Amino acid sequence: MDTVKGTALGLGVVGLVLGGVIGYAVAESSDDEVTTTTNNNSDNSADGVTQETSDLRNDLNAEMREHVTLASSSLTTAFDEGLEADKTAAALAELDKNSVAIADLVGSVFPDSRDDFLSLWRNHIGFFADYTVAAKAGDQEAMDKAQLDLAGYGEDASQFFGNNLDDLTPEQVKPLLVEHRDLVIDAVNAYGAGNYDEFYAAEAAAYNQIGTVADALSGAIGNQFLLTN
Amino acid sequence: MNNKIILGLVAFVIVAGGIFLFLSSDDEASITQTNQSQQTEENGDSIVSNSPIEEYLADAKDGGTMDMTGQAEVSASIGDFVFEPTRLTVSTGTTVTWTNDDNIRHNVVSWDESPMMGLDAPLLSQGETYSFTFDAPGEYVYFCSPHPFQMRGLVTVVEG
Repeated sequence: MDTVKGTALGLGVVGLVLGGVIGYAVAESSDDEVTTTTNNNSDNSADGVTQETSDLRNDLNAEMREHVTLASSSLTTAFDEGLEADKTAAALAELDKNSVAIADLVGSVFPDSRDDFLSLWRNHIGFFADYTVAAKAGDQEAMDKAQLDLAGYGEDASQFFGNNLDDLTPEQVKPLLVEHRDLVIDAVNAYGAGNYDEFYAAEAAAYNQIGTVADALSGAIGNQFLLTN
Repeated sequence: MNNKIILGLVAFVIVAGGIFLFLSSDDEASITQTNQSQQTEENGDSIVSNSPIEEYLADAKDGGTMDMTGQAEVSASIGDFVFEPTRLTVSTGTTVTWTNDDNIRHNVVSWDESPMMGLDAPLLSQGETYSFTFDAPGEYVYFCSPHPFQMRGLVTVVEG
């Protein structure tokens, strides 16, 4: 019996040591994975993070330029057909898919803000639509109101990005959004007046300018979230 | 033979117990570190309450806190990207009327994650109002949909 007790005791000690070694080895390997994940918010290796920044820049540029193209198409259709027309609804539906894509990109960096951003973005498109309808009707008061609403959108959007990105302040973001607004307004005004040369020039300018916005945002995001320390 | 089986089982239990104890103590440490890290990050000097509602409201412009329990009619203001008050306490059956005092349009819409829902104002031009009667107690979290990052508010309704 003493032999059994002694053997059990010996096995117990060996078992505790062995269990500790195994547990340590397992814990260490899982800690490495957590550390890698929390270091850079990315699933990529250190080399892949630079590619991720580049991808974000490309994606944001592509989606925001598509926004300008689809918004231009939607607004001119709204001007010609009215907001209630099937053709306008179809154009706006396609534009909304782009809005969701942009919100998803923003949400990939700021997941808790994805829905708020989509709300803000959709509303700003609505304000442009309001301006277009007012311009068609020659309603200056409504046009002015829509422009004020667009200014409010710029204020909130610039606060969001400027307060959440180290490399951008609200004061730096706001002028970019104001310029975007002004170019789109110019395009709508030119279209409404039948100045199609000016319309297409303004549309092209807006298409190019939005790339500036996308570059500023993606650059700041990349510096803050996607580069290794 | 029976002794060998018993000894083998004892060894297995002890090895398994050792692994379990080591892994679970490490997990508790990381969770504790994570929680402390989050709380410290959100309020650098001290640990504060991190309820989802307070976290949501923390980013908004603060228009103050008012306790208007016992009042049947309460007025609130919308202006300069802020709801005033931002945090309002009222009694059940109270009607709150928001007036847009700003020259840009705002609305009052229930937050998707609000415990209590029902607020659904249209976009209000300057001078326009929106009223809601709070019949059920609870927390009604809301925001302005064109300005969701700055304009958020809470109405807490208590039995009364």
